[in-house]
Amino acid sequence: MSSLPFLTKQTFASAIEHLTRHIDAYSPHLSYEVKHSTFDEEDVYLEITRMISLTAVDGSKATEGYDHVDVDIEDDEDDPEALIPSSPPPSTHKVVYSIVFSPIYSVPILHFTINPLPPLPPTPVSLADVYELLVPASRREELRGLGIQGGISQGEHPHTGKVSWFVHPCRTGDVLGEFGGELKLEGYLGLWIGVFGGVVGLSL
Amino acid sequence: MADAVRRAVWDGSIPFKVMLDPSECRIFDKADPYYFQADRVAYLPFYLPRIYKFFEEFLIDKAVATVESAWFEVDNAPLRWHWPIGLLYDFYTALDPTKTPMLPPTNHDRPGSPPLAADPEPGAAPVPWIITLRFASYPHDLLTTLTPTSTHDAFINSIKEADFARNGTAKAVMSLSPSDTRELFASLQDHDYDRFWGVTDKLLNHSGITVKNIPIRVYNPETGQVIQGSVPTRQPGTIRGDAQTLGTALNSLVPIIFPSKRSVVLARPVMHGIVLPLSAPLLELMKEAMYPDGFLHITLAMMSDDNDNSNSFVRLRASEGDIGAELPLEALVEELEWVML
Repeated sequence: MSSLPFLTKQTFASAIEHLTRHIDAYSPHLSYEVKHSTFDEEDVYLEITRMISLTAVDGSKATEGYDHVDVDIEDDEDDPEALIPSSPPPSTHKVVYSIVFSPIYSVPILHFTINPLPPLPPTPVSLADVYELLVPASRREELRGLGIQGGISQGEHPHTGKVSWFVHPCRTGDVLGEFGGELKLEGYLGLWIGVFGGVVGLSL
Repeated sequence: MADAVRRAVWDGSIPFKVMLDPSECRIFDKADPYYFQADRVAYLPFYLPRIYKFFEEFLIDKAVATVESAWFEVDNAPLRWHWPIGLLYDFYTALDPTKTPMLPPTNHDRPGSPPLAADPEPGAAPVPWIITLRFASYPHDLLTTLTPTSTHDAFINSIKEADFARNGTAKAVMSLSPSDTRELFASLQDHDYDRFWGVTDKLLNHSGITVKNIPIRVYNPETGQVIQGSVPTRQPGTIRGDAQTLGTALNSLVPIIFPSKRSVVLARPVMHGIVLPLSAPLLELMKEAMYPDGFLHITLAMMSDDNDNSNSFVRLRASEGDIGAELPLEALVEELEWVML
């Protein structure tokens, strides 16, 4: 399975190069790092780090807990006017997205970790928190309906071995396949992020 | 018996001895250990409720040390909830079935008594496997959170992944009826062979689909590296489309460790507690000896500390003629039955 929408380790590495060039040109605010497997230099993956802010519904501080907070997932990132906001909301969580290649599915898989920042206690986020923090309200129902406990699971990051969340990849091939000849390696990951990144708050 | 290998794999089990971490115990002299026999194809969360119940009376504070905060540890390594028990054992003991098993000491459990045996050979199987039950400092970065659905979720994800590897789609899993899908996990929990294979045979023999690839994970206990792959059932590049053997598969997946397709040189492939023959046809190996989650989970018994490395070349030569012999899987049965304790 080496023709699009399916990738190999090598074509995935090229797709990452295309994506980072695109980010450098059009989304310079995104903080990313190209990493590779400890055991295999050619096995690369991409980490994108984002800070997110909780905005309490009632206007009070987010330290109230997760029950009464909402998420500002927009972050005004695409708005150049917003580069110097008058009062930037303090970041409450650090999200590290990791775009890795699955040699079983032959498509990218989106892993991510979320960690609360001080002064929040370093309590691990639960699956319910993940939905509250990252998944746009309009997509929650659809995502929760998949599989045994929804379309997001906890597992191991294939390169670090650490616990990580991931979005189920089993339909990725089918969905990207619908783009047919329009799908090119150059725009592959940009399109993929557009289709699958949005459900967990990742956009370019 | 046509399903002798499947039966033997299903019946494989490991004796456990669970110790309560001393810091969790309200009795100075430590709690009694809990002994149990675990099915290799099962998962630790299946056994947790009865283990917790046993230790409940020894806990300092049951409100803090809840069943939800429990976890197991061996040699400072937390034991993953979502790995099959057989894999945990083979991986964390770096099992080498060619080494003599470590038999249990006879006057065990006298506090403060020195170990009876000398240091065990590396790779020798510890019997029983001694693991520690802990509650404090849950290692969230290394261990997934155990919830009522998490084991089921991880299992079904793996089933889908394996199905995708085999067929290029996850259609066989998706087309199972809801009751069959429930049955996959329920039958594993109940350790019911007939119910489990009744559904799984539908996945492996899905109408109109020929298995194209075999899902494999290879685990190196020395480095922690996990190599996963989807190996074609036929060797690419061969004119007649020769069937893949375990040896040709490992040679393509991990060529550095398996430079030869026919003989082990640097490591022995281990699964279900036995050394697998490199000549085993891969498709049959999957159909008969895969773990319930659809994968061949193979650990490596590294041969670097063997004294007989000089023999590797001899073994290589001697086995040249072995390839393509009769189906060797039936030969596994005897070995599997031998390791069942």
